Formats: sequence, structure tokens, C-alpha cells
Amino acid sequence: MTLEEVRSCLQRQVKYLFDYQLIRFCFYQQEYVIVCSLTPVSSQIRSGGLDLMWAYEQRLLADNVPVITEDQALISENVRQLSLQLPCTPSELWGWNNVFSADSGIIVSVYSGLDRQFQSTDVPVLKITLENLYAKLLSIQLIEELGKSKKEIEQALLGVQEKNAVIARLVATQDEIIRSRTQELEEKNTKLLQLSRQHAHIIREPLTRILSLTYMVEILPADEVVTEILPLLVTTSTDLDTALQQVIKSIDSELGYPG
Amino acid sequence: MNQLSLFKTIHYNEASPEVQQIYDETKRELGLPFVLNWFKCQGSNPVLLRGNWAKLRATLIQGSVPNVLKQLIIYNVSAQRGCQYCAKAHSIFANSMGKSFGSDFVITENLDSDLIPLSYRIAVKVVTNAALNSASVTANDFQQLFDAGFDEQEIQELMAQADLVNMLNTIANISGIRIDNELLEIDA
Repeated sequence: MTLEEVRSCLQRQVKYLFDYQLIRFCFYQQEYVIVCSLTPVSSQIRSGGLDLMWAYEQRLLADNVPVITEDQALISENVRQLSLQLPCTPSELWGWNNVFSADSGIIVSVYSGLDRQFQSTDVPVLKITLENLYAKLLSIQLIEELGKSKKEIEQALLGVQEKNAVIARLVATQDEIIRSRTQELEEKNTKLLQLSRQHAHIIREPLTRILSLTYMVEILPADEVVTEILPLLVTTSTDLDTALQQVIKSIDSELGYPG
Repeated sequence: MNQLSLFKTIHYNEASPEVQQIYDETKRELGLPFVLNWFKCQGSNPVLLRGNWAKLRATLIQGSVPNVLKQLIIYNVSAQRGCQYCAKAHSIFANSMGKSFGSDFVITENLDSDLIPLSYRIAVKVVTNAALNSASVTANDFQQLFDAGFDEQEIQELMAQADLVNMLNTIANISGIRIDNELLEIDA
């Protein structure tokens, strides 16, 4: 049930219960207020803060003292604030603050007069009406709060889902980078292996020469080693160095490293 | 004329299964442990009984206007017209429902009392006039009901009581039925 349906139900049913010129039901819970104003032929319902209550109703909320008055100044001051048309100016005002819990209840004001007289015999029926109205408004408010909480949870869930999506995208990007880097390394490794095989003979030739010369060092006399073998070893070592540099250059070029 | 039943009264045990089914519906919906003579006097014609029961149910039992108000209207018209059966039966129904106005309060004897909301008093007055003098109904009657707080749907439902009570009275009068003993026991 909505507040609008509550208004419509009150508009239709209260006339069967007792007579009135105007009734104001002010439901309050802490700072939240729902005000329903009824005349015999029209009605309105509003929700908001305490400022929806008229000054007289705020006094009733504060002092909690029931009112029966024919104070025309007070009645006129109150009904002047009403945007609904009244059949005539009421001559009597009945008001109660019906406290249902520590911080919630209904302030009811019944304005009567002429052929629409509210009477003391109507009070029990009014009290029953208030109990039912309070229960209904409270359940509507609880449902609204549950709805709000649900919306907040849904909103939070949506945020988490969005963040999850961002994380998932980041993880996917990282996976792709790792996969691509791994593939690149594998390819380079393969290429390196191929290149090392390809260039082994370039290195092997001066290396073989160096080995042969070192064998000769063992069998030749020292002065001959110095004069004959050492210069050859220097030349061959230079050849090996050149060969190694060629290989490195070639590998760098093949693997795309900056020379 | 009312002392003699001119329509044959069909008791539950004598009724056809179809009529018994309708009788059961009337008991269930009216919350009565017996069948009213107003239905029994139509028990020999299931087609008419079915149609009249449907009309009574839709007009008097269903709808959004409180049943006590409808009973008051039917009582008031019947009393003013002189339909003894309907006046008695509907006064019993109305008074049993009217206890909410006070345990010792006899609503049918206090139709003008301030204890009865103005909306009731206006509805009873306007619809009674509509039933007894339908040709005299004007826009002013509708305006009175509107000013009393009734909306269009409720006004139509109220005016339908005028139509219904005329049918109820006519059948009760021409059939010659007497008030149900079971109702008198409830009233006692």
C-alpha cells in the first residue's frame, strides 16, 4: 500500500465513522513526518520534516496535553494554512498526541462545527482508527526503508561489480603481456640456440688453433715458444675475439638488441 | 394480503440441487444458518432466483459502502412503503450492525440522531426519496451526497439500493411471505 492509497482510503472511510469539518493526522517518527488532511470532500497527504506540522501541532508534540477548544483565533490561524477548501469555518478543535513509542506517534486534530459535530462518543472509534493508521503508516515506512536499503545494497553491489570488471580487465591485460613476453622469450631462446649452433664453427676454428698452439708449448723449447708460438697465440686470440664479436653482433642483430 | 403466502415456499429439503446450491450461497454470504423466506418463495423458479440473488449480492453485500448503511436505507424505504417483511428483516440486520454506535443504541429508531454520522443521515434521506419518488430525483440530490463526502462510485452504489429495495419490497409484498421465525429469535 502507498501513502496515496492511505489517503484515498481515509477519504472514503472516515465519513462513515464520525462527523468532522477537517481532520489532520500527523504521523511522526523522530524527524520524519507524514501529514494527511481530510475535509468531507477533499484530502491531501504529504511527507517530509517537522516543518509540515503547524505551530499548534508542534506544541502538542512537545507538551502532549490533549486539547478541546473553541478558541476561534487558534482555529482560524490553523485553517488559514490549509490549502483545501472547507465547507465552513470550524467552531471547535479536538487534538491529541497519541504516542505509540518513545519517538513516534500520531497527532490528530479534529475540527468540527455546525452540522458536522465531533462528539465524545466518537473518541473510541477515532482511537481505533489511529491505531490502524499508525500500524499501516509504520509498515509503509518500514517497507520504504527496506526498499532504500535494498537499493543501497544493489548500488554497492553494482560498484563492486564494476570494480571487479576493471580488475578482470587488468588481469586479462597482464595475462596477455605475460603470455606475449613468454612467447617472445621462448622465440628468442629458440633463435639463440639456432644462432649458437650456426656460429659455433666461427669460434671453433680460432679456438682449435689456440689449443694446437698450447699443445706445441709443451713440446717446444722455451725460446722457440716465445719467438714462434706466442705471436701466433696473440694473432689467433685476436681472431677468436673478432670471431666472438661477430657472433655477438650477429646475435644482437638477429634478436633485435640495440648494437 | 401479507398474511397468506401467494408464492409457493420451497423449503431446503424440497428444493432441487440447483436451488439448494443457491440457498447454500445465500446462507454462506449472509452468514445465516437458515434460508430466508424471501429466497424460499422464489425456490420454484431457479432462473429468477439465481438472477435476483445475483442482484441482491452485487448490490447489498458487495461494494464499498458499509453494509449497515445499505441495511438502513432498505429498512427506511420498506418501513415508509409499508413492506412489513423487509422492514422487519432489515431492521434486525441494521440494528445488529448498529451496535457499534452504542450497545443500547437502536439505530433504526434513531435515524436522525447526532450519534449517526451526517454521511449516513444524508444517504438514507436522499436514497429513500429516490426509491419512493424516483421521478423527483435531481442534480441537487447528487450534490448533497457529494457534499457529504461520497464519490461517484459510492453514489452509484447508494442509488442502486433504491433500485434493489423496490425489487425486494415488490417480491416480499406480492409473495405474501411472513417474517422468518429464525430472524425473530435472533431479534428476541
